Amino acid sequence: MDSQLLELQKEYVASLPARLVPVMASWQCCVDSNYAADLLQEVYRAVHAIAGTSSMLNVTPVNELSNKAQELIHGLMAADDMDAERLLDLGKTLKTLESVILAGKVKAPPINLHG
Amino acid sequence: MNSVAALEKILYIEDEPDIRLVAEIALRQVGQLDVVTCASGEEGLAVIHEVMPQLIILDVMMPGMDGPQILSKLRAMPEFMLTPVIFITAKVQPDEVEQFKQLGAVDVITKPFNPMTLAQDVRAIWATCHE
Repeated sequence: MDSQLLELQKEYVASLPARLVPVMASWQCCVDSNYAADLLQEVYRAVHAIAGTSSMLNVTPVNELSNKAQELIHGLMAADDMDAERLLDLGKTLKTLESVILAGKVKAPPINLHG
Repeated sequence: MNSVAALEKILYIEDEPDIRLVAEIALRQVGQLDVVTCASGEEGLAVIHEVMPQLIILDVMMPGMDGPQILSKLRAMPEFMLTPVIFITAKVQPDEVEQFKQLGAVDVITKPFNPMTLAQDVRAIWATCHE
């Protein structure tokens, strides 16, 4: 099983630039709409897809950044209004995620199967 | 003492292909379970009568029908009204776990799950459903 997971992890890391496209596209739409709530929800869905699989495959720091983005969006959606500081932080977090992925230096430590 | 039927057949609905694959490895190879995976609620509901799972695992957040919506559809089907459903999701708050249970899930497994213990965890939940 270790070799299967290692192969899956490698393939996933290689596919990250393509997986980033819907995240950044949905974020751009959200920015263009002046942060419409339904479009922010789309960003959340796109980031959630990366957060879930990157956590499963132990792909850091992609997991940390996507989790941070999720938490920021969750906070924005729970609040009554769009907090400018949180939006700025979200934009920076997504930009960092993009930089990390596009730099091609994503580290993925082996998955610890035995606790 | 009640004898609990052995858990053999599971339907797992998850939109992320890599997580589906890890779960297949975990449940099939490690856990020796018969698992059918589907990429969406629509696909899962289309095959469920053919599969007739003893237990169903649902990802919470998916495009199209999400986990709670699928659960609601299942509960309207007489054959699956009582079939145990486990939700699987990324980090959850304790109050969210309670919300999921109130919707009818028997338990919640959080991602990332450990592939070595997933089948064991699912079997433990299965056993608690029959206590």
